[in-house]
Amino acid sequence: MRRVVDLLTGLKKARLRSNFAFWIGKEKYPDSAARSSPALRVPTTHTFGAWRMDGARVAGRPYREILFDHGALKSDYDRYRGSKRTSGPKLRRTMSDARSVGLDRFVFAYLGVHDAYYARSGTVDVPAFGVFIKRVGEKFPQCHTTRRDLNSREAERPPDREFLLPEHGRHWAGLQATHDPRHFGDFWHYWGSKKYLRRASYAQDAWTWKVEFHFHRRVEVANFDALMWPYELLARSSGKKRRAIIEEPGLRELQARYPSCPVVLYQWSGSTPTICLIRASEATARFLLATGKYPDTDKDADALKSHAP
Amino acid sequence: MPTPSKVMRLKATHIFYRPKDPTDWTPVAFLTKRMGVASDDFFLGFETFRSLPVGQVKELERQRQVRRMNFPCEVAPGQALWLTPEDEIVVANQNDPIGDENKLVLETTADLFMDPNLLGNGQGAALARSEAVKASLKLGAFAYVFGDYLNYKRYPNKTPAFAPAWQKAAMQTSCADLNQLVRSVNGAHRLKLERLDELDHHRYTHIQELILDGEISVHWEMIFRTHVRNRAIDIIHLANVKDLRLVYGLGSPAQEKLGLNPGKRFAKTFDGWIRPLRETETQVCAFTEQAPEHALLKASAKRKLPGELRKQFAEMPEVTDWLTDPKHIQSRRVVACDVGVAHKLVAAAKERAPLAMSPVPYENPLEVGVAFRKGDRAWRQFLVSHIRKSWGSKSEAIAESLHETRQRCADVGMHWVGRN
Repeated sequence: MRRVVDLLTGLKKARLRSNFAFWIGKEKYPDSAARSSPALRVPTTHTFGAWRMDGARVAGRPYREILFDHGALKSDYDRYRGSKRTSGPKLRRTMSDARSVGLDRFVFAYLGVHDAYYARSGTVDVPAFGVFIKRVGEKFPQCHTTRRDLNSREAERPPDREFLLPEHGRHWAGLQATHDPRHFGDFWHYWGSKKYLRRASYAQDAWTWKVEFHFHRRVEVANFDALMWPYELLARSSGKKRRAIIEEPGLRELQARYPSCPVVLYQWSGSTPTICLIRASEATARFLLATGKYPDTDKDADALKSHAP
Repeated sequence: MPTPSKVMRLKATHIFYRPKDPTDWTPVAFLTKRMGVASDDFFLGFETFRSLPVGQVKELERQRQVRRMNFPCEVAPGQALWLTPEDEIVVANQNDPIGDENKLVLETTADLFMDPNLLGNGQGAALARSEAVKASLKLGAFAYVFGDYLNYKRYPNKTPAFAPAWQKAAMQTSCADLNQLVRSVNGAHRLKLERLDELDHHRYTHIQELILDGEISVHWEMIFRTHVRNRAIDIIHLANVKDLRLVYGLGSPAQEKLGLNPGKRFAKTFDGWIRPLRETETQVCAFTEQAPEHALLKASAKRKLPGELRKQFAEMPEVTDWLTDPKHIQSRRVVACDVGVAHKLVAAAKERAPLAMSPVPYENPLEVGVAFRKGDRAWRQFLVSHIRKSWGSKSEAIAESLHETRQRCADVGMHWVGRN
């Protein structure tokens, strides 16, 4: 894919505004219709894995690299600069069309539910952590959006007209959720919901319509709005179950270093390794929109259940 | 992509590697495939709403994120795959895996999850040794029986029992290890490898009693862990067996009435062959205290097989007489036995009547392995560490013997789950 421009300095605000106007006009959307949409308030998401295994050996802990070694989500360019790593699903996922237009220098986030499965590569993060990113970082030119994932069949090629201002990206998502007939007027259909995942076509296509946010070079842990952290139920010889927080020392370290970052614990299961995060992420987002805060896993367990899909 | 369905049957084909817990059972992520459908697509556990193409699964294998299972096994909702502290992969109930009577060990993951550097010098291994020493001093011997189960192809000729090099190595190092420790406690005592009398072969109840009484510590012959034996013994899991054999006279009324085809599978499920036996009032005989008899007893207990149709004999001549007796030529009679015994039976009756056999499944696959006293974790840890040590050897003889063991297991319808 042809490189658009330098995505930090070359994209002009006026051009992005006109892109938004173009798409509004093309779809004949009223530009004020999405003012109350949850799309304007819900945080963007990013997902990463707990372990990188090499057979029986733990070759790496992505969550530790992000939370403690780098203290930030880093763009692929920054993560692999100078490294010999040239292949692998993660690189393939983000380095094909994205790299060709310069997006490898940005951290990706979706206006959609956390998902540990990546449609383009078949890669799976098991178990997975999920970040909700604060909206304060959504300021052009450090941040911009594309109307679609550039690998989506719905994205234009060349992708020049796909780029939007962050606020327009959210607005566009709200308009889509309301007016695109495939979403039935249900924002959660757009954002991602366990309820609809039972349909194979939904599971396959959901990533193709979502607005994608790009943050230049890094997103600091201080800018994490909240973190979804997995726990699992182990079986004891007594016949009882024991709740074990995955990588618990890491959680203690996070709480010591970033005491203000809310952590939402969710139950991970090896039998349904991705849908448990999807369900928990959706319930958390619904809870956040309804109450303005993130749930405390223990205190708000019942309330969270009522928000669960 | 297949449409999700409540009746979709899935088999687990791959497991995701993960760190284990030292004391408790941990859930493991796994990949599945649809059963009975020619499709290359894989799923993440029970998540059938989206698939992983075969290319991606190969990539995950190449990166050593997942491992293909030696014994792909059907998994149903309500079940999960678990990694035990003993490095086994078990399919069992998702809520109470340890108490699940139908749990099945799918993998002995010695070569997967074990750090070879820990062998023999970790804290756990030291503990295991000292506990094992105490146990062996109490028991007084470290006895064994070499397996001849895997020798069926050579029946009826008398041949030496099959003793693979890896098993010999494991026994020798464990015996030496024990003796070294025994000397430090009691200089005069020396443990010996002892072989049970020839007549005690296959007398599993007797062997079980010997284990329980402390007369022998370990039974090295492959033993099937049935629901009956499960109450008294544990095994170091080496293989699984799905099928037994129905043996019948060629051209006999039983063959005709049931429509048995020599060598061809008779039924896909346990009920699928028990029901026709009941409906045709075919008598079925099993060897006393062997796994097929346990299966028939269970069928009777569940009222699937009337007790009057069930017979049992302890000795080969009795069974041969019963099946080939000319006075009962018009009776419908079959023998249910495992494949090794089936070959013995066919050979034993050769002079009197031509026999044939057809595979049929057990109710659930059975685990097969080296037996020791139920719940004795010290022995388990000790034996596992020595088996691992032998499997980890770079000797060509060991590698060949592992290959041969796997091959012989396949010959008798067992699926080797240990190291290749």
